[in-house]
Amino acid sequence: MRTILLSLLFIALFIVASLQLPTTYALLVGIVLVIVFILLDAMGNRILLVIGSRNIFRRKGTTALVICGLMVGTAIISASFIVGNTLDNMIIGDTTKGSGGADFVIEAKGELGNFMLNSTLVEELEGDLRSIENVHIVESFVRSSAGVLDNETQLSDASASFMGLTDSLLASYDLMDLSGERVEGLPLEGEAFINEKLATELDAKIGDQLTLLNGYISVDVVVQRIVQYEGLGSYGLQPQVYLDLSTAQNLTGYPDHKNIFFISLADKEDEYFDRARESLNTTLQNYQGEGLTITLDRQKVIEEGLDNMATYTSLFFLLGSFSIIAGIALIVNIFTMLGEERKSEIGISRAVGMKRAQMVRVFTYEGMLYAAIAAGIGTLVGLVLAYVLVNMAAASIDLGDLPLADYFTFTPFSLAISYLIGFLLTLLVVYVTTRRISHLNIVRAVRNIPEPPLSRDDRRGWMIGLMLFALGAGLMVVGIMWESQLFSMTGLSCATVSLGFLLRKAVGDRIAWNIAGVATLFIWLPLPFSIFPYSGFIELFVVAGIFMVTAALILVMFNSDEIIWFFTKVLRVKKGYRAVVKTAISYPLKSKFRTALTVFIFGLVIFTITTLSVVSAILDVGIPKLAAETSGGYDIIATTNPLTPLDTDLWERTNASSSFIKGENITNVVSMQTGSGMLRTSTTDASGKLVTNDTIYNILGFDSRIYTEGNYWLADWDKERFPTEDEVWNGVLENTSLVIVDGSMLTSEMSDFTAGPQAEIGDVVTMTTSNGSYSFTVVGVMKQPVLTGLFVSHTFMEETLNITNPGVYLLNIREGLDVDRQAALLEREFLANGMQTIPIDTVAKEIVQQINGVFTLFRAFLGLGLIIGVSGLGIITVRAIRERRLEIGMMRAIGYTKRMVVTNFALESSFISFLGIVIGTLLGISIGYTVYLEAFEELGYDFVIPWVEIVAVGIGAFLATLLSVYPAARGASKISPAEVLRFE
Amino acid sequence: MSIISCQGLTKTYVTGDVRVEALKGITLEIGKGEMVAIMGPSGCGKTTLLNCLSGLDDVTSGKIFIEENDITTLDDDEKSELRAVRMGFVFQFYNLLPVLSATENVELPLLISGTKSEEANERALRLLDRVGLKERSMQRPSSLSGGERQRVAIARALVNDPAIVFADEPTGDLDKRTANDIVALLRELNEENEQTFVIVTHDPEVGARCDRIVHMRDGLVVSENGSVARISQEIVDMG
Repeated sequence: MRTILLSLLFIALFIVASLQLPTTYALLVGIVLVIVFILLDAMGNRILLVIGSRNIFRRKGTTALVICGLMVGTAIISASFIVGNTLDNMIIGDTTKGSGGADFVIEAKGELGNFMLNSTLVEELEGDLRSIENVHIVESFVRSSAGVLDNETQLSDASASFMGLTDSLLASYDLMDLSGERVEGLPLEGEAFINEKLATELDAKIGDQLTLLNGYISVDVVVQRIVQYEGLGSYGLQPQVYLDLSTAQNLTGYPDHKNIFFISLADKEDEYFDRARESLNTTLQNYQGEGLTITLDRQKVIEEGLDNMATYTSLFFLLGSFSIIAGIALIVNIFTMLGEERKSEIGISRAVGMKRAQMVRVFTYEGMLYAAIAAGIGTLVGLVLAYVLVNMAAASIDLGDLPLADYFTFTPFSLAISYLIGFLLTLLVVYVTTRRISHLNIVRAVRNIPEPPLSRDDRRGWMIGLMLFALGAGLMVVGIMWESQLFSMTGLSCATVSLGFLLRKAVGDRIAWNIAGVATLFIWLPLPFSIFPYSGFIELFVVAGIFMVTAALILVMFNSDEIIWFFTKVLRVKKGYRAVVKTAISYPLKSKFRTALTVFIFGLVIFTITTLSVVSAILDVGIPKLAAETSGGYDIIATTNPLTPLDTDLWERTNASSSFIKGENITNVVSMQTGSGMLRTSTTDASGKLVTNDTIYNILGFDSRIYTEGNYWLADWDKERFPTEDEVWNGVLENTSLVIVDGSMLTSEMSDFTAGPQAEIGDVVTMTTSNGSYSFTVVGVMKQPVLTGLFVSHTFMEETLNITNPGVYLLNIREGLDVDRQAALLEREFLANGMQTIPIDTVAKEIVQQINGVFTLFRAFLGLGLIIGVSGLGIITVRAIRERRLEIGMMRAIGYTKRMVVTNFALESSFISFLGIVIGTLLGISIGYTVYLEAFEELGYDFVIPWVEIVAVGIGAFLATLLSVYPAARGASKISPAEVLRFE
Repeated sequence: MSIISCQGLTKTYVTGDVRVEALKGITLEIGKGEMVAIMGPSGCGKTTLLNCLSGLDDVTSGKIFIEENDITTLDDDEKSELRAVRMGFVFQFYNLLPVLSATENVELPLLISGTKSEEANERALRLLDRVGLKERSMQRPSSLSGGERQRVAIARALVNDPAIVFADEPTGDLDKRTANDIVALLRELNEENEQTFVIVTHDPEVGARCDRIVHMRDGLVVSENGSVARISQEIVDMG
């Protein structure tokens, strides 16, 4: 009665919490309520609590082992949360850095970034901005890009910026020198400050003379101070030079002009940001034609960044869920074995009157204490693990300027929720497992006789099957209604697994479960047809893993006799060891439940690692191949600063004797005009809703040389209007309302993970520039995703947008030359034009390296699951030895040598891990192939199986298993046969 | 001619500060083909003697000769091999491997000694037939009765055609009727194959069927050819 009342009270409290609090906090309250409920329950059943707690201290070694096993799941949960905290921190920190300290930044950009406002206009706008409610600071200055050459070190940077400082700007926003002192005085004429980033790139020191080049204009300055990469020092996240305002204005070619406005608000709550944003947009409407845009909205950028990071954090959770599931399987295994070990005691306790519920309570209290300790350790281990992962990521993935490791952080909330989820998860699994144990037959338990197998007529199995089938059918209906692959495939899998329960009465266990196993496996294999024609992504991978591994396990466990026969025939071992092979394989296959759980752990983890390896290998091989295919046949893409385009022919300049790069080294040059504007695309999401996307995007004007000199392949085009690819290019040249878009806009299965705009053939996209809005019909999508933009006719650029100078050059370099070196020489030659180059092959290699870094990180994270598997096997071996001491004694009596006993146990564990490794590998390759068919085949990638890597992981896991069981197996060989045969 | 011979055999167990002298200098000869019962009250050292004679346990001092080889000088592997080839064992609680069928349990010693699988299977089935379990050969131990399990254990002990079979309380866990059947079977096999049987037992019925009884008390052999009645009375008296 007391328990019922308590339950009702706690349910009521949880409902109140759910209604009043945000979901995460309500969840937290729910978990705390469950824990308090159990504690109160335990206080009311003290004797059971005493029994449960004393069980823990019976065998200290076992307790340590159990806690190690239990804490892994919590460690993964905690690590995932902390990685999430770190990514969030990075986004907030990075956005704050890039903003220079402003809440909003307004820039006069125009499509070439070449708009400047005269002082009258600046004053007028400043006044308007200051009149907006809650606007606290408005500062204006000039900033543009320039090539910078350090005359001492002779190093240069074409992508640097310069900024004109004012006293009021320095008073309102922070600029700190390296000693941390705030910079208050402006640089004098002929002097400059540079930020740490530029100092590093140029290897510059105080006193170095720099030449700043902006087209025709150049200025020499001496480095007077190096400033921290913080506040104004990190605005724009670029290498930067700080000049006095008039020097900077002169360098732009617009004396007395400014182009940037910093705005800060007094109150920074969300609602104030929303209002300010609205007012700013209204104000800017009065300045149409001045090219003014809000280029930075700190709160919005942070929000969007956090949303994007949430995708990656959830990816960690999803991949981590494999290890968490493996951890749950380990907990089930541990407690099942604890139950088996104590079978006689449980039987005796039941015989003297202990009720089933009380038995469950004893285990639950014991589990609660284990869980409390293990969740605590797991949370801390997760913290260390996250730190290691973040540092690994920082070391292996080039995140540009993002020093990920510096942003490592965690919140007390993350630690608390990790602890509580880990605790509750462990407890829940212990509870369910012990309910199963408590159903044993008292006489059989007292006499330690094994439970008989479930009879064919048993109604429980039938009922479970029926419920599973109903659940499956329900999920399928939901899946079909919502057009969700996740729900429909989960439902179908539940239904196929239920066949095992439903058919056993009619055809017997073996046939029924073989049908269930084959059917479940079949539906997840790469099929030439789609069972459900809906899309799904990463969540489906987890479900596929669970069902495929389960199905394979069913097949193994219900064909164990054939497997034993096969291995005893195949393994041609030394004469006396045939007996060892037989017993070593028989034991695991007869102890179905514990073996299945351990194979499941291994299988699931290896499955995930293999799938990731396959996908990584597909990208490894595919990206360089694709880069070669999509490079258009060019070696280098070069762009110039839109404000300082080349005023001479590139070919002529490079052929001049003073050129850094020899003209003869360049074999081909194709140029295009460039501009930018706001691109609006519309796509339909999974629910059929029209989603519009507004992005600042490039627009490029090409002439016929792009396809006569090179070969930019199209992934898709309007084949009805244009039978060949050349005709598409020609069609766009002749019709300025048509457009070809770059390959990054290609809609694919991976689009969920790309934030950019997407377009398909026939879509109408709109580009808004200061000249007006223009709509284009997409008639072609390129394969190449590097040179991004809308590809339109050069006449449109010249006549409609008034852009005549080229901004992009596609070059070929003489064969045999180092393309990277030639690209660097080009940058040096056109430093004043801010030329930046992309050596296509190198970029492809860098992308591969990045992807490898990410995949290595994920695999390392998943490797934790292997630790679970290996420790699980260690636990099983220790327990198996304890259970089988008498049998070991007998084996020794009939002639097993010590080495044979060691071999026997090593072989048992090896066999389990071998099964898991083989199942996981084969299924991982299979699902990898499905992923390839779904996501990569249409992009032109090849299917690749990285055998070396897969075999290395398999061998590693196998050796780790041997190492983990060896001490226990050696211990088993030392068991004295005389002692155990006599006393046990 | 003796197949087992021991001289001045002592065995002392040391647990912490406690020293227990289980065997206090035993000298004994057992002839080839003999069926000998070792009897005496609980704790007199019967099982310790059997364990030492079979090489399952190390001796503290003394010599043990099996077919004229001093097994106290053998290392663990050599003793294992000797047990696999020349000895068979029957225990009170059968000690069959639960995951193997009756046939597979019987085959096990043959496989250890390197016999081919087909031959091992054939011999195991022959012996199971001999002990009356041909029809139950595919069953696992959990499906067999106590008597049947002990018959499987006997078949396993004999399958290697050992020179000596050591049995520790082979009828201890069986009802009287089944126990009688088992003893009769052991006797028959002893006569058929001329193998030496060394049986540790409390059961007077078992002693009565043996060629002679070695009577032990307090770690010493009281008599090498004792009387069943006298020993049985002593067992009853001393518990």
